[in-house]
Amino acid sequence: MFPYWSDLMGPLLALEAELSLAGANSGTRPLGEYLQHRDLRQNTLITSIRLPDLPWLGAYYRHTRTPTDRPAFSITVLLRLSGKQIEEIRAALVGCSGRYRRLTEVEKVLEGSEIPSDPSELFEEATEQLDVDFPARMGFSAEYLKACAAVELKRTLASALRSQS
Amino acid sequence: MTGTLSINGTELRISLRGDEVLLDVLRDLGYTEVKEGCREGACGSCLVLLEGVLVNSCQVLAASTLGREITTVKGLGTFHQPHPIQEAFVEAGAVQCGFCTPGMVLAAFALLKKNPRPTEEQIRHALDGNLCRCTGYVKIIEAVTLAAERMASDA
Amino acid sequence: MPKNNEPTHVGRSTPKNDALALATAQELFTADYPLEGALHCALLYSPHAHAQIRSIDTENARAVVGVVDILSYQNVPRILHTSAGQGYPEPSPYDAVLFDRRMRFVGDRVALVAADTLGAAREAVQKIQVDYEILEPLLDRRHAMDEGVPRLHGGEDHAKIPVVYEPENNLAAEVQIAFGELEEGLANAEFIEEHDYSLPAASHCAMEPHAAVAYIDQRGRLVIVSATQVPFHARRIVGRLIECPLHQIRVIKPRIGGGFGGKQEVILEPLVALVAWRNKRPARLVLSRREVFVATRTRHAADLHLKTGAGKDGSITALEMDCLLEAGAYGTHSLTVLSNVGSKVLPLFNKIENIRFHGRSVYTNLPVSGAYRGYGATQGYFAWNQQIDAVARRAGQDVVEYCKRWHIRTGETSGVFEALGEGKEGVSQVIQSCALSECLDRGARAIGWAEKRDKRTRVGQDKVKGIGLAIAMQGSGIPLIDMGAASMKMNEDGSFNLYVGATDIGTGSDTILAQIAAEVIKVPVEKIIVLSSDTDLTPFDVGAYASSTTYVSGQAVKACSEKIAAQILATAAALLETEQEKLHLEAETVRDGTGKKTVTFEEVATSATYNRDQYQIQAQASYTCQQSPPPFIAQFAEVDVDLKTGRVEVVRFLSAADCGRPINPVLAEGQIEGAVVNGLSYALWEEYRYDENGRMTNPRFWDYRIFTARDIPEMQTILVESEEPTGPFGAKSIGEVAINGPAPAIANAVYDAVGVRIRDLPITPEKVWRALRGESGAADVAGGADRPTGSRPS
Repeated sequence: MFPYWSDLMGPLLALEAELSLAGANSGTRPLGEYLQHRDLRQNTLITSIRLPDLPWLGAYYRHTRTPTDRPAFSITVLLRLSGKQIEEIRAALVGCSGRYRRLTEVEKVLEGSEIPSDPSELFEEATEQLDVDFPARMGFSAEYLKACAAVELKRTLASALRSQS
Repeated sequence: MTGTLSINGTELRISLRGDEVLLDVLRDLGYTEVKEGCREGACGSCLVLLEGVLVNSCQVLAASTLGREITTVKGLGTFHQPHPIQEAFVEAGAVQCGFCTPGMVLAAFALLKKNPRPTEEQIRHALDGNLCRCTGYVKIIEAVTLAAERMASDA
Repeated sequence: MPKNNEPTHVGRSTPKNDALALATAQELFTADYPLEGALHCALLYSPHAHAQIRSIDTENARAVVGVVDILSYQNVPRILHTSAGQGYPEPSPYDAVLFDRRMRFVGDRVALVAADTLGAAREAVQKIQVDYEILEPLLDRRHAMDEGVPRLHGGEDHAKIPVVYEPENNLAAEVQIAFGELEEGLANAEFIEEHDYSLPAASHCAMEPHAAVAYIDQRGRLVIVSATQVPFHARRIVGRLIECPLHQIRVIKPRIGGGFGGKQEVILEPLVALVAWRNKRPARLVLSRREVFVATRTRHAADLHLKTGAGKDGSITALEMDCLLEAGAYGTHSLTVLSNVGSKVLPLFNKIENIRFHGRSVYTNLPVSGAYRGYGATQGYFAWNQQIDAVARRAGQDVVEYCKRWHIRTGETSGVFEALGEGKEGVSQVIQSCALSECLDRGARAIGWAEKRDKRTRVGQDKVKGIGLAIAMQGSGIPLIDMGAASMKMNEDGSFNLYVGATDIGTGSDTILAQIAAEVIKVPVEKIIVLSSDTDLTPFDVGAYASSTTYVSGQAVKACSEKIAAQILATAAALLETEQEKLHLEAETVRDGTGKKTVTFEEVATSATYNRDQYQIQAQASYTCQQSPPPFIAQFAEVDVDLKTGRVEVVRFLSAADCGRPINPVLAEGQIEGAVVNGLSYALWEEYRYDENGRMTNPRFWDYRIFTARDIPEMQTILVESEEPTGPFGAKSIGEVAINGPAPAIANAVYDAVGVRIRDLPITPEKVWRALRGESGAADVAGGADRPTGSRPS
């Protein structure tokens, strides 16, 4: 019922997509800025969305009740490695309070870090920085969603690392 | 507006207000093999092929289908000349009440067209938009597997 | 040539005789029937959980072009009835009228508009103006009998048979039985397991929404075509409600898109009948999915409290079962579902001497509960199987061996059979076929019980594996109450018409009954032409419920076929000029022992029809079951539980079922598989959710999720044969029992994996997660401490 292409916001944020606007607001804006400023949406059309073709490692997770369900939240991770060092990392969360967010507090911890052979402690440390709240939704409580977001963030980071091929 | 609907190879001139969904137009024209189960695009009872693509007809505006080929389950096979998929459903015991069956057959058809040798996993994914409450899906999956084997050996 | 006694048709997986017509959509469902000049009906529902209609103004509605009739309390007589599709006199209270002034749930019926088009009907519905006096609603079943809470019924509402019915206390039904000395049994126990369990309301989710059409035929009789499980009950109830003589009414059941109990009600038929009768035009009413969720019927939500005392050796010294069922706004099926919580569960361990069962069904201002596959047994077994699992563990025993030791056996009985009937005394019976131990052994072996139980095997980083068992029995019809009948006639080409009232709701009963007839008469199944469920043409049958069709209707068909066989033999004997005793039926011929004297069925029939001592070879038979031989089942769930998120994945599910000698193995498997997946979905995902005003918040598949093909685990079904001497060719029924195991098997498997018990459904990831964190609630953590009072779920 809910194919992956029905929920693009997380990947678009992580890819730092750019929107071409026309109307009251025109020109090219980063997606993050567009989401932050409501006035950009007044009398304005999105005429195209540009995504960079990043040859990075990545992973996407959606938290649902059932496999064919819409997500309560989703996590997208993109990272660029140089050897064992994380040169750049982007993590996007969709579904929290405020709806969309780049997890900059997590990215800060990981950017520039060397990945040990067992990265779980590193990911644990990064996730501890996660400062996010959720509304209760789809039968899940706010507390549970928050706990799951932390768990799944760690797992998605690990998934991204494994996406070597 | 007026236009032509093409259903199972038959052309029909119709006039539309514009806000009708395809499900209702088809049923009103007598294509009662297209069933209404939920009207929210969740159950798959109303599936048709629109230019070969599987769509829930309750979620498609009829006006957007003018001039485009629509196939219902009766376009695949008839009682006197059933499609191998329909025969496989009968043989495998995959038909209980039969209400979901037209949609299931179409979904199976669409799958096998793209992927003539699907794994069980692929069959489950292809049918995940078709709800059935009678069979528990077990024999439906068997039927699609059987149909794939038959159609592959016929090809 | 030697007589061949091996069955040729019974025990074969003959394809359903309507399967090809359904697969090619040649068959019609109720909403597919073309109706010239029909009036389309739309309903107005109450937006309030509890209200009194002060007035209804239909002036604006009537002004809508195309509107022909509007029904409401203003112009429809108040005739108390129950919508329950049950035999007469119904054991459900007469507490409903077609259009009341009192609205008792969000979704109760205010008015009906009949118009030339559906659009006009719906537009008019919006324009009906209703003045409501809003009343305080009762939304918590646990307070339904408190002092001072709103009362839903009273006045002239009454029970039709002498049972406990106290509408002044919101009590729709009450059942109590007791054996032995419960307190003594508890006192003598080495340990006690006492816990609360809770199950929500659920929807049948038959893929076909409820639908009915009615028209006046060429002779002025009212014909109703309806998606009903109970055509004969529908005819009777409609006749009363529209004040039309029963003999003027014909009810026909076409193909139905699933029922599962949701169509064991007479809801739409009186409405279309009334519109057709009043306006002398055909009438059509097809419900939307949302209307099916809210305004038809649900499974009874239930709270159970079980107290089980056991000795050191695990033997149960006392069992107390308390049950509170939520009837919702009306009491349809509330007494009988309640009775079945006890009557289908308690006999399974028949050596328990000290038993007390006390149950109540109460009214609340919520959607109406009714019949739903399992029918109380599902609720009872969810609780009972977890108690058994806990007791066995505490006694240090493997639960498979424990169940093998204690279950009822062939030749045994239970006092519960006699004590708990359906609104009257039950019927004592001795079990004549039970292969449950074999089901347990074969099932345990097949699923790898010994390798997986109590192992808490890790799966990947964060998951743990567990395995759980549930066992159950059901019944085969309602003894001394359920009656089915069949009639047959022979055609001159050696084919037969078989007329049965029995209602095929997708189950394949038409085919199974044809197989039985074909077996007796020794013809191919295709030569039996079945016509079912037409009140003008077919003899009576109670309908498709209580797992009765194979067992009850099957015996009627067998008896009828035997009479036909006797007539064929008699006619053949005359033709062959030999004694009847020397002849037998074989492959569409009648022959003697030597094979020298033979005559074909065609010759026999042609002679009887046209040539000599002419008569129509025809017969009829009825059957009322004297007992209700239970099918038995052992069900195993293998789960992987995510320790971090509480998500439960059912990896494998196995059912080993004893339904006697299955008439059609593939159809029997189909019944089991369908019931299992429904049960899995109910265990993990399904529940009715309401807001603070009693309005259902998830009446769509968007938010009321059911299993798809992608969600089912690896499924295995084993049919374990036994021989039921009272069943047709040794068969028992199979329609319901398999829905009882999934929820408790999963709960037991979760405990096996991670040591927490979830005692209220659905078993959501969050509940498991909270239990793993040690939060109090319905779950308790491994340790199995003796708790004198279970905690109530919030």
